Amino acid sequence: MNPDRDEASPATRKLDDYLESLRTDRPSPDPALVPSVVSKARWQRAVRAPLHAVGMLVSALAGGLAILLGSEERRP
Amino acid sequence: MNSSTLPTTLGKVDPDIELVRRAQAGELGAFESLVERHRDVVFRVAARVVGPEDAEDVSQDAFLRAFHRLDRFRGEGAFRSWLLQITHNAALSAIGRRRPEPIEEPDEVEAEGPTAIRGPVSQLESRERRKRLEMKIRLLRPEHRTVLVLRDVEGLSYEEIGEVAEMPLGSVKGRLHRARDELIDLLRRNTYDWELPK
Repeated sequence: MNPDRDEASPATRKLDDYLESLRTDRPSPDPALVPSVVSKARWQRAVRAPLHAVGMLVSALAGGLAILLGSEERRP
Repeated sequence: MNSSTLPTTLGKVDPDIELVRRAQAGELGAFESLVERHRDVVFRVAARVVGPEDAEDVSQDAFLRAFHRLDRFRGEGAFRSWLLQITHNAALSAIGRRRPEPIEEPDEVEAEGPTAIRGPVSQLESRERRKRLEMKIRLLRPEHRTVLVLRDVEGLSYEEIGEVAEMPLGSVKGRLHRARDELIDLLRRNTYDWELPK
């Protein structure tokens, strides 16, 4: 039962009675959820560091290229 | 992390904290235990907020987001609140991605009179009412939906809801009040939804 019930209006108490059906009906996920999450976590952890390194490298290259192009444009 | 600063319940150390510490150190088995421990509540909240069709995806998304942010969990509150906060945000993202929401008002159903024959039919009727109630909850504004689900279905404390929804206690109570009024209003639009069988 909802702990707020005592101070509730009749309509809210009635709503609480309806919601009781949801409190007793407790859907549970597919048993495959846990292995699926863990396998994705394992895979993502494995690729995360290399991807991060590649991202940093690309960003550094882009930064360097931008500086080079900028200095070329400024040259008379 | 110093164990003397870990959150406790009636003097007992929250078992999640040890699992989080081990998962933070890279132990995938500890993370798996955390998923096992909280999969039901995460799934239920996701299902009530986004609907059963997307609940698995939102649950997966929430757990993976949590996995990648584990180092940000400082143990200042309960792990469950932190995880439900991520679930709440993942659910809101899922709702945002599919705007406008494809949920339609359930069809009008004639209310049965008090003399209606009850019996084996009542189980089916309860299931139908529950389904309609779930649909009406999903018609609530997302910010109202989560607060109502967390308080009136999952039974979380106001404090914990404040942590999950990242809002002060007063706002939680105000939002919950408005959520209940909104749901009552939605249910009252159909006598079948509002009048409980005698």
